[in-house]
Formats: sequence, C-alpha cells, structure tokens
Amino acid sequence: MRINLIPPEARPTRSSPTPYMPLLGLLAISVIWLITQFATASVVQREYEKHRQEHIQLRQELGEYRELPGRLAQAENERDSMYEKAAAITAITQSGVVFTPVLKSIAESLPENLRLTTVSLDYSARTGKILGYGDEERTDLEVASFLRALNMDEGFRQMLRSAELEYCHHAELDGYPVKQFSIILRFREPPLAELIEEDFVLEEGDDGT
Amino acid sequence: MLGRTKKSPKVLGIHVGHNALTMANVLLKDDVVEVLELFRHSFSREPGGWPAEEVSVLLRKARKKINLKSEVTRLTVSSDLAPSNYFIMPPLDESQLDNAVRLKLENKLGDSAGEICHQAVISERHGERCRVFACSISAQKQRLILDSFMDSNCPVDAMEVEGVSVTNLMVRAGLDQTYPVAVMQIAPEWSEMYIVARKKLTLSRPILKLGTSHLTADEDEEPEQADGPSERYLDRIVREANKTLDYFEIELLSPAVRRLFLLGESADRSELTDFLARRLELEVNVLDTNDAIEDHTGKFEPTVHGLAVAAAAGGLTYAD
Repeated sequence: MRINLIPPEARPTRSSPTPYMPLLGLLAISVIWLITQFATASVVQREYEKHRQEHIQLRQELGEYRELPGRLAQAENERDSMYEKAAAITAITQSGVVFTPVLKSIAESLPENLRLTTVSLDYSARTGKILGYGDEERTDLEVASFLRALNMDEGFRQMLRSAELEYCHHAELDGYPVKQFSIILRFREPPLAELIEEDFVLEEGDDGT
Repeated sequence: MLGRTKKSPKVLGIHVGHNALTMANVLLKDDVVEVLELFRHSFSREPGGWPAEEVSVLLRKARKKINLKSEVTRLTVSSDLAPSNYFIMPPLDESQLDNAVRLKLENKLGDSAGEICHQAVISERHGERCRVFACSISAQKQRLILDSFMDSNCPVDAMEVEGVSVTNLMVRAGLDQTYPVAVMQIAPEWSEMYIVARKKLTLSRPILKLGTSHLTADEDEEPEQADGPSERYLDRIVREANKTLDYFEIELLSPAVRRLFLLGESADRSELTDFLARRLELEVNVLDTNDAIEDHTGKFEPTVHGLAVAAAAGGLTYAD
C-alpha cells in the first residue's frame, strides 16, 4: 500500500549521479589520454636524451678525428727530427769522435777570470775555435796560461794537436772595456796521416830546413 | 549504458509517534529488509501539535547516532497529525478519485479544505459502492514538519500515516490473512486500532485517553500507573475497540475479525494480552515480524521500531 501526502512540487529534488556520468566518463577518458600522452612523452624524452648523448659523443669523436691531421703532421715532424738526431748520433758514433774529453779539459783549464762565449769544434774541417773575454788588466797573462794549460793537458792532446792564439785585443762589452780573445784549435790528423806528416816534419828537420 | 543502477537503496524511515521519534536506516534488497541503524528518543507534544524547537534539538542529537543522509527518506506520522478519512462513493476511476475526495473533504472541513494535502486509495468495493481511505494534513502543518527535517539536512521524500505503515508491516511480516485482522497500537496517552483486510487498510480509529486532550478533558482521570496503562484507560480501549469491531462487521458487512495484534511499547506485557483476549474474545498476539526483517543492530523490536522500518520499506511491489 503506497501513499504520499507530500505533493510533487514539495518533494525534495535530489541530485542524481546520472547527469554527471558523461562528465565523469569524459574526465576518465581525459585522465587516460593524459596518462597515455605523459607516458609517450616520457618515452620520447628518454629517446631524445639517448640520441643527444650519442650526438655529443659523435661530435667529440669528430673533433678528435679533425685534430688527427695536425697531430699526424706534428708526429711526422717529431719523427723527422728524431730521424735527424738519430742520423747525427749515428754519424757521430760512426766517426768515432767523442768531444767530451776535450770539453772537460777546456773546462778544467780555464782560469777563473776568463769567460767563454763560444766553443766550436768542426771535426770535418779539423779545426776548432774558442772565443771569450776577460778584464783588461789580467787577460793577457791568463789567456797565455790557458793556452799553456791546454797544450799540456793529456786529454786535450789525445784529440787536438795544438791551441794557438788568434788574437787578444781591447773591446767593449755592454759599454764596459774588456779584452776579447780567440783561440784556434787544430785536430790531430788520422793516425796514418799524422805519422806521414810527422815523418815529413822530421825529414824536414833532418834536412835542416 | 551510462549511470548507476541502484539495486539496494538505503532508505531512512522516520516514525513520528505520539510521544517518541523513531528512526531506522534500512537496506532494501529486492523484498528483503535489512535494518542497519536504529534511533529512538521520547519527546513530549500535545496531540496534533508539532514542537518544532524540541524536534530540532532531537534531530541534532539523532544525527550523532544515525546517518540522516539516505538516498530516500520516508516519514510516517500518527493520525493526530494527519487524520484519516473514510468515504463511501460510487465506483470511480483512479483519475476521478482525487477530485471526488477533494469535494468530500471540502464538504467535511469547509473552507479549510483548500489548505489540506491529501491522498486517497480505494480500500474496499461493495457492489455499486466503494469505500475510500483518504489521509490528509494541513499544508501549514506539513510545511512545519518538513521544515524541521529540512533544517537538519534531512529532506523527506514521502509522508504517510501510521495506518499505511501498519498495513505494510503486516504484509511484509506475512501476518495479513484472507480474513480481516486487527492491529492495536497502545500508547500511554493515545491508542489506535487498525483493521487490515486483503493487504489494505480498511479502517482506523484513534482512542484517546480521557484527560489528555483538550477535546476530551477530564480532570477526574486517575493518574497513570507506573507498571502500564491504567484499568480505566484499558476499559475505555476495550469499549472503543468493541464499537469499532461491531461497526466493521455490521455496518460495513465485512467478515469478522478473528485476530488482534498488539503494537507499541506496552504491547509485550503478558497481562495486557490476556486481558484483551478475554475482553474482546479474540486471539491476541504481540506483533512479531519473525524472519521477515533482518536485524543487524541487535536492538530491533517489532513493536517499538516496526513502524519506522515499515515506513522505510514502503509497500511491496505486487500488483494490488
């Protein structure tokens, strides 16, 4: 038995969930679409980051490849230089000439007040030259002492035949009065040539000429 | 298909009795009623009066104990708030019923009938005549009652009278018979007798305790006894019940009522059952819903909470 004393116009209207269902459905679809887009964007972002890293790496490798010709040229220059040095060393070692005892004798015989500016030894020309300077007062005596010491030195004499004064005169160095000197060094000839020369000299001496 | 399909709506049933407010939250599963929450609180009011402020306080108290926000809220009120009317009419179509009842009410109530809300159903057919049950309430009182619930954020969707709820409770409990049965609601100040036949409310009759109404003031009425209705009040109930049964059987040419069910707080008193059975010469039982209503609260008493649950459950969906 059903009866309702409340007239239809006085009955409360309750909101039905049904009208909101399309909106809720739309909202759900939107949320799903957004989630899908977000997932897709995440995947794309990860791919982009991966390719960007690869791109950076490739650019770095490309830069290194572009530097290779320069490095190759430098390496070739170094190689040539090394070849030259090796050739020089080979030539020196093949000639059998070692200047170390000569330089040691020069260094040990040099008086305190003299300063050397150049020491050149040309074995092919078989000459050498020592240039230097000293003060005006004592240089003459000390150069003479230096020459005597060289000529008397055992190590010097093994390779060089004589040390001769070329000149010793006044000069200016940076506005100060000094005396410059030059000493000519003469190498010994190869043993056979030297023997011939000595014999010849002896013969000349014997002849009294 | 979009939208929700509610197969098990939660319904709040409210019973405004003579001296108590009862609420029941029920779950309707097909034709099974499950009681989820119950609330009952006594309040005092004059017959026909509506103490709006006291009800508001009561509803605020109720809100803390029961969920007032249900999908549907149904209210049942006692006949002092919404009196029942019976009219004998020629056979009518349902479309003609409303206008016919309106005319009857205007003839009965005069000018005030224009402010009356009413609804009617045909309860009996006797040959060329039919008996119509129509409950009514003044629009002003209806607004007052509905506003009280609306103020507590508990809008009421449907309002019926106790007699309809009693009928629905009897039908749901399977207590309606092929022959008419009577139901008596006994309250300390007010009682009412209903006769249900063929799943319809055929007759209802309020029985006031003398001295409780300004209409029937009797200062000599003896005080209420602590252990139940007074003997004089019971004598009056028996007398009026016999008159009602005689009227039903003789004037309405109806089959005799054989059983009486008791409803109300005092119904389960054994001496009352025996007294009425002896004096009315009927089989008297306390109304029991048996297994028809599933109680999840552990507090459900058919005689106390039955009308609130019946209001929530409403009528069954059979073709009546």
